[in-house]
Amino acid sequence: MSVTTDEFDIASPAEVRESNAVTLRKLLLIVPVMLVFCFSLVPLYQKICEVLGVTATRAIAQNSQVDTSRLVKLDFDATNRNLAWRFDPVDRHVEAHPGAIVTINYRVTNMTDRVTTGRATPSFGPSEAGLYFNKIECFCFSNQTLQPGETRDMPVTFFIDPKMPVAIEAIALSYTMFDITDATKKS
Amino acid sequence: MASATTHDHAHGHGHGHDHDHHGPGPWTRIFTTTNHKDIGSMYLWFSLLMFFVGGAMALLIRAELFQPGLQVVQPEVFNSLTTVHALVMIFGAVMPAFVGFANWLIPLQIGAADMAFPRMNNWSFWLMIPATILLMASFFVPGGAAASGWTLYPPLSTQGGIGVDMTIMAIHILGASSIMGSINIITTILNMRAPGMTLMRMPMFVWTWLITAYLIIAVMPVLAGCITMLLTDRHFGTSFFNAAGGGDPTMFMHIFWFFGHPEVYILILPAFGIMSQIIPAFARKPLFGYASMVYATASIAILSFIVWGHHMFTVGMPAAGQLFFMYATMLIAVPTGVKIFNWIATMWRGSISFETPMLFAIGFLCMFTLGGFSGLVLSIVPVDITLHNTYYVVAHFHYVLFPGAIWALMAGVYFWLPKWTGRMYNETLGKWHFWLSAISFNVTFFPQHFLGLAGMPRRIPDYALQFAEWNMISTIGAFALGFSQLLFVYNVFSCIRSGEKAKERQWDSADSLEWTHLPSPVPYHTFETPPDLRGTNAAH
Amino acid sequence: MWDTFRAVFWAFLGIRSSQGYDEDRKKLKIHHVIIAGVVCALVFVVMLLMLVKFITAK
Repeated sequence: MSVTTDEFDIASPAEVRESNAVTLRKLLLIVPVMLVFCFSLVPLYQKICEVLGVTATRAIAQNSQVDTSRLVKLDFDATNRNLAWRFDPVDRHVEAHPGAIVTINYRVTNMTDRVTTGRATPSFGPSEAGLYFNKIECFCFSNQTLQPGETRDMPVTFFIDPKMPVAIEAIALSYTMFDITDATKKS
Repeated sequence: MASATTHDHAHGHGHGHDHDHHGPGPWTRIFTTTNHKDIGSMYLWFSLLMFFVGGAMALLIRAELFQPGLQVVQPEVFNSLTTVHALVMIFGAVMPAFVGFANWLIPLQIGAADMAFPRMNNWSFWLMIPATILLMASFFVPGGAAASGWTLYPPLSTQGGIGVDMTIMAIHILGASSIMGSINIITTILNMRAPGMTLMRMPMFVWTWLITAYLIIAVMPVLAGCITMLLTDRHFGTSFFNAAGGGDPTMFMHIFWFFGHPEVYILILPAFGIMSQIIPAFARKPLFGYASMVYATASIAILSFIVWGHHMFTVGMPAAGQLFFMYATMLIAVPTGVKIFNWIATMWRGSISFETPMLFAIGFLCMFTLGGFSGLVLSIVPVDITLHNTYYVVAHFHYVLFPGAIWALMAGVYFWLPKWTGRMYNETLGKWHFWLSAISFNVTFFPQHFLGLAGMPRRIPDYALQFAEWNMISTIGAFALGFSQLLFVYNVFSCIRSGEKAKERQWDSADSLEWTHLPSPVPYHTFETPPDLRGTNAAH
Repeated sequence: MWDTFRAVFWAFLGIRSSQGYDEDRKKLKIHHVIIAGVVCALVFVVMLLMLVKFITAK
């Protein structure tokens, strides 16, 4: 099809059917292509967030010097979402030099009489602090399955990137624990 | 359609062989018909019905908001009503109505005998029926219909009962139906034009539908993928949007609005096409800047893919992102504005007459422009941060969708009724319908600007006392608006039953093929031998 | 080539003179126009991004 052709001849019905079938195939191709595009938006979105620095999780933790010139106040907090667990930080307040490796603990107790699975997600205040909070070990995003009445200590090992702006003097890290017992049973 | 020419020899041309194609009876015929005119009419009747279903929900919403406090419905039902009202109006009323127009008019305007895939055409209509039943039945299942708003944002949409699943299935089916319809439309336009009907001689309505159909094929799969992820999050333990599993609800918004913004143009571009047919016919001048119109429509379609972020300025986005979407949104107003100027220039020094279709067209121009302006206001990030999720937004999109999409459809029905039925509608009644709609529409929605500026949040069944007066006025307007649409139904029925005979070229300056080459009413089979337009000055 | 991009530029603005349109009809191929349209949209995005970067830079 060209915009410039002004005149064209009458096509026979067979020719029209043939070219219709060709067009149909071409157009049908767009549908799976756009579906794939839609699902590829999921990793793409994570990637773009990382590039733009609007994500709380950073892939690579780089080793670095300890910056003893300043101390950062750290507050730890825990929230339970529809889960009958006791979920609390063992160490609520810590002060740390940027670059120094620190380990703190959270403690969970399953208060129910059933086997339950939970999963925690972190959030930072201020949110940009998340960019400089490098976790070496963490229980977040992984399933924690507790027997009835079981208690467990869960460590978080981290260091703060010395490149963190000096304006950030204190960081609050809060974990929210979600009940995913049903979801894990299904999958 | 196997051999158009043999057909002609056997039966002669025109009215002669209407009956031998109607099949065993009218009831079998509506299930089996592959005639583009039948299917077009079925689409239009269906969307008229859904228009009233969605309208009834709107009136329930307005009745609840007549006074502060809870009187008519419970909050859960109210949330379901706002959700399903939007879904019904978008996917049940406006889109099928435009597809109905496309079915009726595209073959007539390009000189084709029928759509490219008649059987698929029948399918895409009948798919809508189970989808609609699913959607409406979701009100009666435990947990009620989806109550998350039509945008189905998680976590609201990952909660909720089986009603949400039914809604998701309904949208899946409706999406498949519109993809099939669009494939049909594009193939018809690209391959079945009469000799001499080059792309740049096609009527504007055909052009806008060609571009709209491409948009539909491009974004409906994105919506389908998006709600599929929602479904797997709900039932199969995935965590695309579930924060508990490391997913991100904000990502849903990005994917949804990547579909959602082009969808806005899907709802309005065919309306632009109808306007571009009607205004020249009543201004008695050719459309000003035909090429500009085609180019602008195409560029609006392309640019519609890069502005989705303005629907979600407040969800947490870097300032650079907000600025990007703000500038892009403001710039997309330029080609849209140029189209408005083109229509005004078409009317400039024309010998205008004000029959009902033209009244609706002029009403469209004024009201749509107002809605466009409030859209520009909302595109400014700092303003949007205060106004988002208020009634200002409700006023804005009703100004672009009601006098935009719906009035274009009304104008189109009045304009083509004489051609479709061979009879004239009642002009006086049509004028009453327009003026009552115009006044009551503004009574309904103009106060909602004030409510929004004063801070009244949308999608809430109750409100603070200071909003009471304007809400009362808005509700009165809404009922007047709803009931004046009954005039339209009466007018259409009485036109079909007992209207005066219409002329072959009822509007003397309408110059597309259905007016210049075909009698009124249009015979059941048309253009079985394509008209030869080579060397003629077939009009836009 | 240049003609195609000029036509697409005018399309983004939404204006095309009838003289320019007549030239388009003679010279342009629709595939070229579509490619040019997508390219121009990308260029437009990059330009906006640069503008935004310039404004948000401290």
